[in-house]
Amino acid sequence: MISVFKIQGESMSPRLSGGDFVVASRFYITLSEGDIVVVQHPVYGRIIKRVKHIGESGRFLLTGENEQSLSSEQMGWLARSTIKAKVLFSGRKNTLLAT
Amino acid sequence: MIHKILSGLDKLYGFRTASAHCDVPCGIYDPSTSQIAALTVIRMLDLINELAEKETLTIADQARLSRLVSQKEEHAEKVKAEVRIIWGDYFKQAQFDQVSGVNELVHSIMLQGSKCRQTIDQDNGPELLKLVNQFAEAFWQTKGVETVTATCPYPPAQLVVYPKLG
Repeated sequence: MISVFKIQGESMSPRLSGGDFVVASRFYITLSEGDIVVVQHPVYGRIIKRVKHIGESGRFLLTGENEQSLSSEQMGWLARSTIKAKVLFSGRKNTLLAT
Repeated sequence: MIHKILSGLDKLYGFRTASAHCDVPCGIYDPSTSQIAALTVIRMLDLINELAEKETLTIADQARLSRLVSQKEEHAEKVKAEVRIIWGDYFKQAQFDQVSGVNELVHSIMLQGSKCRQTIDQDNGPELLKLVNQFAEAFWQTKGVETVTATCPYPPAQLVVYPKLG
């Protein structure tokens, strides 16, 4: 299922900025480091971040795109079930960038 | 193009949001910290120049001078950092459209802040404050808040732009 999300906040800047949109799919075949995902985090709610590292158990770490972001340590190791969608592409104010 | 389409659909249907969380609550910006830092620079310059009037400096005077210079430099750097944060994080196109010349003003503050670090010329401090006051005025203008200029009730008793709140 395809969903559209509106971005709030600047921790994914310059890749994504507040007010940008992303088109994301709930279904995906592979998850790789570097993918942008929308996650339902147990503490921080629905967040959008980049997959930083995938462990052997399949759990993964997230990161932002700049130093304003919550750190990977703060967000902690997360289960695959927290991923609500994988971003396919983004609609930015001035350009269209594949993520 | 795609942003326009999605933006239009968002107005109609209201897409869900995904937060690109920061580690601190965003949205808290206030130029007063940079104004206080600029006042500190002026005060340090005044005290340094008071010491300069002495014929000889005791060890205690030298220790004090060292501390004053260190504080002057630290607060000049703080002015630059605080202004950079507001300029970089708060100012977006909407704010740039509201007030003109902000980029040039911020650049002038960076240069003047460096001058304050490099020298003990007493004229540099008030000039820095003047620029920072202009920046504060521009900031409050984007917030739709009126400002008032008043002399701060403590040394170095300089004119400071304050928001007119309440």
